[in-house]
Amino acid sequence: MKITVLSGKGGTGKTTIATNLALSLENVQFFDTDVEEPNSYLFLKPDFADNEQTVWRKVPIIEQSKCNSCRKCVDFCQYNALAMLGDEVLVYPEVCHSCGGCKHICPQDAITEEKRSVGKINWDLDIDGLEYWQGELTIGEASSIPIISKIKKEIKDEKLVIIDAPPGTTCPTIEATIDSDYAILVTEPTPFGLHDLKMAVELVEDLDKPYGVIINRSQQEADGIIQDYCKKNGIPILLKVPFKRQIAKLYSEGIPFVEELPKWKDKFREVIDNL
Amino acid sequence: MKLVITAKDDIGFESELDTRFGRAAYFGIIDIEGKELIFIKNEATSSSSGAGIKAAQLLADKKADALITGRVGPKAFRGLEKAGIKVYTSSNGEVSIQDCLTAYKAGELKEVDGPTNQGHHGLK
Repeated sequence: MKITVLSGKGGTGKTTIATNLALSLENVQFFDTDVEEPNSYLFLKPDFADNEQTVWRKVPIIEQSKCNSCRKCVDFCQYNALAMLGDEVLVYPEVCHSCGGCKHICPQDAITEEKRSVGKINWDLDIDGLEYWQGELTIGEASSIPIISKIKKEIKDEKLVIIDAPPGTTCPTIEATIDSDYAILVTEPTPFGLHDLKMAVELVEDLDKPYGVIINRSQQEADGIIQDYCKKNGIPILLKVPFKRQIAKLYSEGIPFVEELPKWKDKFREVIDNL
Repeated sequence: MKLVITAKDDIGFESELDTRFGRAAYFGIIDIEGKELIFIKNEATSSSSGAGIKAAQLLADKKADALITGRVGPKAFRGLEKAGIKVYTSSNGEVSIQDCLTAYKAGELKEVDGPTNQGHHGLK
């Protein structure tokens, strides 16, 4: 089974939920796909040793001697990664999305491709039984998709896979969700939380994934805003993690709260058993 | 000689300078010899990425010789340099296009030889 934990809004508790969930279950393979700022390692504490692999993508190079300045590639590129300046086509590899379209469209065959490093993957196959994978994007790179799709190739079907998704509801989050069997949407009981929960719901509905909601920083007097929305739309609320100083303090010290409050392991197990 | 000044609106010489380059609202194009001013809307503002690159392309296509703006990032600067467009920054509190033009003619604006700020996509 593959479960993606996503949220729409950043800072709602994706990583808190994903890591504590992972530590409550057996036979888990954990993927941190928030490659712009992976931080689950702070809680799961992997030892990567020299387990590291570079992720490459292809970017165009222009053979200026073959180029006749027709500009078709420049006009084609939706990401402004090519510009016709002076008599030459200038390539901006950092904004190129590696679609390969320019190479296809060039009538002069003047475009070839070269490899460019976009980030890396690190792993620890055994953190007390948990298998951990993390992707990290090179600073300045525009797209995290190549790293997320690469890391997903490591998914083992016999494992219980938990994917900590990037925030937002754009391409990287979709990439982290599209192959999963279930989506856990983490939210907080605030208007902002609700707003972005709606966007996350739209995403999983479009992908046709079964899903449920976990309310983080839950407070009885505040939860209504999320509960009303979920009830109205028939969305199950799987769990509420209370807004408690003890949980916040453990988080600030990099300690997953299930380790200090083991009854939460049972609660997380129950969530998965009932899916 | 064609001088381009980034502007927030397109009313004329009194238009306010837009200190952004890639996402400036308008480009005021001044033909220094003919003293003519025309505006073009900056189509690059709607780009999700690479607005500075597209704006540099736009200026190159208009055969601009020089640009006056507030800030230029690394990607835009690389493009402008390649296109042979000189870049000047407003540094003495110039508010309008006219202010910029006057300061430029008086030689008070400094030509920059590199990007004035980091890009918006990260540190590269």
